[in-house]
Amino acid sequence: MNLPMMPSVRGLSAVATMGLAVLSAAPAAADDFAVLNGAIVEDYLLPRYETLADAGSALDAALRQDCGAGTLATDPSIAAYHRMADAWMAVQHLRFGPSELFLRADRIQFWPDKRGITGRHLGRLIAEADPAALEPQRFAQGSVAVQGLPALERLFFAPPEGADPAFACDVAVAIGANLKSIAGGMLADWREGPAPYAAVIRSAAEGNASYMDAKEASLQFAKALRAALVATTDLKLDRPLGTSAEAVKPRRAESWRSARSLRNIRINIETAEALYEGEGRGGFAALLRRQAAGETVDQDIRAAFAQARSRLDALPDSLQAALDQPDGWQRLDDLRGDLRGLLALLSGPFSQTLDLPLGFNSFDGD
Amino acid sequence: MTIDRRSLLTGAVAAPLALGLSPAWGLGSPRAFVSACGDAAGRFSVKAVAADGRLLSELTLPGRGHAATRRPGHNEVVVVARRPGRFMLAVDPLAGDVIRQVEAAPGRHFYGHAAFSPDGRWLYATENAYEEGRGVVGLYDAAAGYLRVRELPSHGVGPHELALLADGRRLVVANGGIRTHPESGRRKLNLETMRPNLVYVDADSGALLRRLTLPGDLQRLSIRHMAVTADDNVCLALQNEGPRDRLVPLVGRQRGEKPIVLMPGPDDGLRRMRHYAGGAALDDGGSVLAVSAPRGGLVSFWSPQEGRWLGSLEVPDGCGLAAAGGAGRFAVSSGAGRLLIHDAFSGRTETLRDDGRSGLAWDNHLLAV
Repeated sequence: MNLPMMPSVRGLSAVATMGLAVLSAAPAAADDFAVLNGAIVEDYLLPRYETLADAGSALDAALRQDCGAGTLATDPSIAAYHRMADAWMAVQHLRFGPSELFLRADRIQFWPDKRGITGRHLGRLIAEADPAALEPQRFAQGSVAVQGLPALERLFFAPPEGADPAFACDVAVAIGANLKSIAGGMLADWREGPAPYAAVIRSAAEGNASYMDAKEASLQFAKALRAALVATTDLKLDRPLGTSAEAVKPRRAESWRSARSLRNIRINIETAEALYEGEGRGGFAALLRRQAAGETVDQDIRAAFAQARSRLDALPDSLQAALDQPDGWQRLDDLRGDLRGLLALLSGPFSQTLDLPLGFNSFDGD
Repeated sequence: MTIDRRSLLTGAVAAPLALGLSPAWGLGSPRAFVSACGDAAGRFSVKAVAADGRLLSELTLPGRGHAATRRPGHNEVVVVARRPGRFMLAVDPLAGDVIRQVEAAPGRHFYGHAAFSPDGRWLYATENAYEEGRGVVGLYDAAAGYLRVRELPSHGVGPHELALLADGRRLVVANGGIRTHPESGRRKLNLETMRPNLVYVDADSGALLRRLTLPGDLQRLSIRHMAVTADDNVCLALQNEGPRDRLVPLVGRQRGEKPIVLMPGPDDGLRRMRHYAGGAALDDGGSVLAVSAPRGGLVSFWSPQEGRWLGSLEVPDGCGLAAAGGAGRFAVSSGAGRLLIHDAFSGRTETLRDDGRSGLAWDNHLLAV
């Protein structure tokens, strides 16, 4: 296999920073996957979980301060909510290891909530106004639907009718403390303790209870990449958009009350792209380019990401606001088409070139 | 392309096919293969393909399908929704007609598999009573428009594939042991405590006739798929949810009152299967068992009588398997759009269709009709 005469400057630098002196088109080997895994954990995962933990602490502090002064939904609290939501959107797709424990992901964000459980449970919590229900341990072990971002969003943007403002404030503080605790716990489980998950990923190369080999850990990351795009198309776009402009259901969108449905998607796509491209020492893209025919696949994937990104950049943060524009539905439908094309590239050529089975049948077993 | 009933009957499209249509198919070599599929646009359908690879019909499904089963004595196939889906669709795949759509009962969803009684009257479908986390088998009267007449206990959690034994009066059900709830999608909720089993159930009363389990240290080996020989040798395809650094057998067999016998095969084969077998099928004479491992991209062939590994075939994302007529001959379909015929004895492979470029993906299970 001949390499193209002029590899892109970006491609060269990514490969060079991986410390590889020679470009070769050999199939991805166990070592390649081990290097990739290390880079993803250090450069991609840990910084994002640190950001989430910081955002959790900041949210907790903001809510305590504002509710201490007797007001809910002040500008600083709302800004802290958005910061936490931004940070969550950057790790929302990582559903393995520490995020799988103790229902953490559901407790941070119980969504999609097809049966309106958040509204019901939050309404009941507020109506009963029992301070004991907010005791941290009891709160953390109670209904997942009132523990996280969707419940806080309602308190800020659509508070239950007849709510006692003081108790609603206490609920918000309980949510802030809970989110801080969950985010801190996830970061700790990645970095610390007798078996930090970062070490589990690193030792995958020798085989461990979680991974047969380094390649299986890389597959886990590839699945996360795909999962970010699947959740975006299937849950965040398909459900609200429906099959025609007349059939839209904007209230099926994620975070519609805080008018940030498309902002979420923008972060999801940027985060997926960063996982693909790699940060610092290189990601899937660099490995892909070193495979036979990998250059072309890489170019296609990059182009698809760029297309989706540029379409998103022209849209507002709110899905409803986008739908209110002329051709709004059509532009969102086009975005959905871009993402489906990107998914086909991942399940097809990407998966085949790296021999990481993301196929229709191997992705999610039955 | 869809052929309609009229062109079929006038022989304009498929004269040799039409000859076999009445009164029912199922004699000799398969005339067609039926499978659920997905496409690049995220749509789901069920397609029928002739034995030479020509597309005969396609019908849109309300969601992703899983397995299809043929109704004996009728030109009828039932496609079941993949878990946690809530539809079954009875179709005539050769004519391209929908016969009936069936919704899951309240509080139940399907697991993707169903089986007919030998007379074609009763359909048994594995279902999840999800609030209780209990497996059930829904019993449907095909002669009454698939009215759900009652349900039987599956005697386990997460029932998946099931079959009727040769007497037509006993069901054998693979209870995979994995609890899921539609509220949390496809997430596995009880891996620490799962207890898969294989049960024989009275198909009329639902009484438990026999319960078989795996040894205690293999309790995270999920029993999910099966193929049963004419003399009731129940061949099993397994999925390991246990520690990844311990290779465990992924194929087993069980017969009569005997315990489950695991078939380890060579370590290298097991490693290449990557802890996951996704489907099982027997050839026409029941002398070769094929087991697919889509995560490893490997189809393995076994002797169901002796438990011996016979060989393998690499098929990336290959999962669907069906007898293709003749000893050792199988049809294999893949999520990458391939449909091929492989002879496990000669090692010869012939590609019937290759739809990967159009984004077509064959779903987990293939049915020969």
